[in-house]
Amino acid sequence: MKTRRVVVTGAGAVTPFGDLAQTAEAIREKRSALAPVSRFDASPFGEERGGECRSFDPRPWFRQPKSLKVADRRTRLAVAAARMAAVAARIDDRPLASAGVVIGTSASDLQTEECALAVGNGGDVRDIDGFGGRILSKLNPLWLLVNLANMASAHVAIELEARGPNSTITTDWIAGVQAMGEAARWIEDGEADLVIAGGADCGVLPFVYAALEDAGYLGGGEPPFVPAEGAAVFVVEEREHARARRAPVLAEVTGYASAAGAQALRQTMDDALQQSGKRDVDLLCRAAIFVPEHWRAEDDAIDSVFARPPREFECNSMLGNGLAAASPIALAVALGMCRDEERLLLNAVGATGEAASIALTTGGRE
Amino acid sequence: MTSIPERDELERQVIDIVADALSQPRENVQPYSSLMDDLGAESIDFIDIVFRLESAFDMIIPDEQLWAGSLDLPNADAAAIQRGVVLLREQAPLFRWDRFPNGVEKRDLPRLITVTTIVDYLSKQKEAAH
Repeated sequence: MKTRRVVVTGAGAVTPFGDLAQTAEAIREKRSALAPVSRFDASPFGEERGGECRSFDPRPWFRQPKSLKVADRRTRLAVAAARMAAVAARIDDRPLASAGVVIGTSASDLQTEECALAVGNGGDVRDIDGFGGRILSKLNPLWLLVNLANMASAHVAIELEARGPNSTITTDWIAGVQAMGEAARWIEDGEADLVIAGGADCGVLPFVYAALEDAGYLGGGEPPFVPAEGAAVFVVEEREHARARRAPVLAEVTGYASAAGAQALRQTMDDALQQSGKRDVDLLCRAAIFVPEHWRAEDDAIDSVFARPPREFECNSMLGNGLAAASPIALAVALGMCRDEERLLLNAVGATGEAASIALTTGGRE
Repeated sequence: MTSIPERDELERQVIDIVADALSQPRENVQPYSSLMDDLGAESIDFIDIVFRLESAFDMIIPDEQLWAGSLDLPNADAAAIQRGVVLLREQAPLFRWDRFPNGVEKRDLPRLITVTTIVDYLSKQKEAAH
């Protein structure tokens, strides 16, 4: 029996539909946010559409406007979603001082145009003088500060003044769920009473499209794989800590597992459910990676875990695949759908390779 | 070969660069605004501003040289700093000297950096190139 129980007390999201409430409404109405990419010419790729957060304005979410110059797209999305989650969780300044932050993300912006211009300056990357003298001299010295993987977690901590443990998980589309699981473990282990955790990512970038095209992901599936951007961040909290400050409780984290290997998804779903002490899942948020071999592997794992398949939920067909943000966004919407009744949610992501599953019980379970 | 324009145009371009780097409206950036005290510049902003100036004017600016302006204060001893500050006060009466009621010490020198400091340095480089 765990002595420290973990609850979710707030959720915030930025998606192509807007904030979490706007996203939940659009998903309920089964609208599509997918549209031709506006940020670059995607016509050479097998998929010309993307899930872009076109109405998103990062400025209100940063206390200092100049912070934006060292915040790439996923960092801006993470900060906005985190601050929305903090408002939803009714956080004041006091509990945040020792709060932790863990954000899952995969792709940094990398500012490929700026890099290309620098490389085009004529230096030879294999020659240290050419690399340092001609290429790096044309790259803004702040480039690294913008593109380091941990910048999303760092800026969330800065903006929320969260001075507890801080970490970043970069395992692609399972990273957001792993961030939630890591947050729960920190709290169970007593490292923190409150953690800001979730996923933020930007897949609507030329090099992401190029990489996915090379991998055969674009243009081959039905429904199609469409890259997207977004963030969903949660306030994860020790239950007595939440009670003491009369925080709203959306759900309790009752199980979490992460694994690698051919059976990783099946294994993590099994482990998370075993920890929950219950196998009757009311809603399964599946990763919904619309690539035929991934989809089949997800189906196989689900079939092997459940004698009777649970009700399934996914957002990617409407929002696109927001990489590390995709599963947290689906979870945030699903929590809103289930919060008033006791329901067991299982958010499972990954298929072959690595996987992570998190089980949550809604409805104020004691 | 640098591409530094004449002083008026140079000042206009430097104001644009500083405003962009510090996310400030143009009207907030005046010739004698302190980059740190008035415009909120921090250490990484100075690195960014140097890079932007180098890119805009096609030149290399050695570390710290830019901030010397028309005087070489960072390398001076305490007495020389005080003599330099007297000169600066004559050259820059619009600067907010009241921020230093007890006088300027060496650690305060970064707070004296203004758009004019940058323009002075770049003007000297243009003269030297001719």
